[in-house]
Amino acid sequence: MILIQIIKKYFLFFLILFFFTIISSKTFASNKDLIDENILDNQIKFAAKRLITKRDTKKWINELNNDLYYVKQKIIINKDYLKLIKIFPSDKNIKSFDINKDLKKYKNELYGYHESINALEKLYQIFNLEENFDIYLVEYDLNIEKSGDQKFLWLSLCTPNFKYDKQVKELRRNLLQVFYFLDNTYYPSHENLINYGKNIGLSESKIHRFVCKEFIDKKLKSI
Amino acid sequence: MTLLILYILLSILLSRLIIKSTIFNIASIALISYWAAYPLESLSISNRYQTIIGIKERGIYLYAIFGISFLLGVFLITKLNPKKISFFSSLNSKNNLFFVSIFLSFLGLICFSYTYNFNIFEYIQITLGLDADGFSKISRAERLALLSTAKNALPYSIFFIPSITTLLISIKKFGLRNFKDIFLSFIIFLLNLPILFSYLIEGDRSALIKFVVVVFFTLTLTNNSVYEKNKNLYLIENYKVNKKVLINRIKIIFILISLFCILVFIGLGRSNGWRDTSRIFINLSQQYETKMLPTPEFRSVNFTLDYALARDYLSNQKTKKMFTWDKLIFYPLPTYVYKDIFKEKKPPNIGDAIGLEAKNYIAGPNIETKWGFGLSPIAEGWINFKYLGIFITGLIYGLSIGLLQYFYNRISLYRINLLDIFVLNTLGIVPLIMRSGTAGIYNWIFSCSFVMLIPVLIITIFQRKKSHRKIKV
Repeated sequence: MILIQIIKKYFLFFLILFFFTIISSKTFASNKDLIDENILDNQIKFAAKRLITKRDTKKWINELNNDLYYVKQKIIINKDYLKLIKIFPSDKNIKSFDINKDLKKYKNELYGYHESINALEKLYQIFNLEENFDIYLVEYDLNIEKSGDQKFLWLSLCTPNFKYDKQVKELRRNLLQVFYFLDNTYYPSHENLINYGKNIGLSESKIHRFVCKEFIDKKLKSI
Repeated sequence: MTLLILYILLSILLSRLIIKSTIFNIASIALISYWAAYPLESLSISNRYQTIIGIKERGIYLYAIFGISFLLGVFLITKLNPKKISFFSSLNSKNNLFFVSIFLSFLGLICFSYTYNFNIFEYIQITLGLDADGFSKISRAERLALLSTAKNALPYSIFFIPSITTLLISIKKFGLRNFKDIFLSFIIFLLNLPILFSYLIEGDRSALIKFVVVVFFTLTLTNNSVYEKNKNLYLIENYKVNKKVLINRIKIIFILISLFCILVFIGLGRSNGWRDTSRIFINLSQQYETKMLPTPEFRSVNFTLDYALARDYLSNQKTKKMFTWDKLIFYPLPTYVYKDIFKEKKPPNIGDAIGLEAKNYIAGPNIETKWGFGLSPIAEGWINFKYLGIFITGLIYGLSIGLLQYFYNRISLYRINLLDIFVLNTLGIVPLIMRSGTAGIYNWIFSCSFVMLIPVLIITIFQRKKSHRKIKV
């Protein structure tokens, strides 16, 4: 009862306090975004873009399926090694510990391939559903202060169709991994992107958001 | 290593039992080379497959079984002293020898030209590593696969070698005394030249080895056979070193090393239509850095042994039908003849089957390249009947080499007959015995001998007609 009375008595005060809290937190958040954007503005520079087509998606599904065969085959070969070292024992044989370590690595790789192929298939479905669906692979040069002048490649997937923004975000991780699987000498892995983000003190998702905003608002519109 | 040294010692002792043991020594050196190289290097394919060392440790014992049974085979021949048969000795005339040589060289040229659609440009393009359109490059392995699977590919080497043998015998025995002889010899040489040229331009080491060996053994023939001369020279006699033999041995070692170097350089430089000759020394240093022998010859042949041992335990699809010993007799049949008779595709030989299985297992069945390995006879023996198979193969190889040596030592130019020419043609394959497989060797002997029967048959018919006419007169 006393509490209700206090609230009634100081209602106006509480109301003002409530509004101030909201406004200040919003201001703080936007200020933080501004600081982050400033950091990124200085450290990230647009490099290239590529419009991903339905045909590309189909082609990559096939390519990944081919690679998947090799990963599966590596698992089979390593399992055969386990059999062979028992049948033909020798001190100089590769150790079962090393074979099992490789097997674990290949099994993770296999899982990664499956996830990427699934992501590509979902993307293909979106292409089938929406004729005007556009998605870009954008490349930015990332400058990490700690690493001196060395430049790192940042990859993002951006769509100007905001309707599919959520779906693209969900598929992003596995779709970006596709490029790493296709050419690991050029494209960074998902783990690399997380590490780059850590190095500049920003989360990976925040950089993606910034990159896509910058790309769609500035680069894409200017074309 | 101990087993290998034991083999070498036994081999030296056995060679002393034979009057002249050049053929046996060549075969034995071939065996020693592959045996010595076996534990030194493993075939690692695209970082996807490597040989388990335990397999190699077992493989060494298989080499020992093969080596011992091989020596046993040769030893048996030295004790058996089989009777030498004289077969179609009427071949021993200048006209007949020239006829056989010119006839075979002509057939060889036709087969060679037919293989390349009578189109010299197509041949040059394929040889230089270009496809039929002349645009895209094809690797040597792909080129060979293309040729071996081509419907019009004919085996021209089986005509070339006997033609050269008979020509050389004729020249050595009768000399080039008049214009007709010189002219005929020149024509035969010209007819054979495109095939010889193809061996050189393709860097076909196996064919070149066969050619050189046949030429060497034919040119060393004299009117008296080795057996008749019965002159035995040993390096150590009465605890003294025979200087003449020593110098001769040094010469032989020098020649062998030089030949080995030439063959290695051919192997390193022939790829991509000889366009990569500048990379010979780079390739050589790369092989050295990776602790590999300068030629992949030994590791690819020895891989077939490793594969044969592991084959039963590998989770891959095995070739159901291949030319194992039960079907071997039909191996020399041409593909289309086999298909007509048996109403099925001619199965691959064991070497090709291993290549196919290994390719599917490591690179995948969708890759359209052919993997070829020279087949180790030990791998072949293992696939046929395991340990017994290796023993039988070694024994057969030993008996065959012993017989060849025995017959060669009894060849005299004075009494040369058809069987002697068969023996000389067969000698070409002796240095290659450790990489050919029984099917390949059998095919070579059968085919070279069979093609010689055609001109011999023609000569027989003509001679009969002639003798009939004489009787009538």
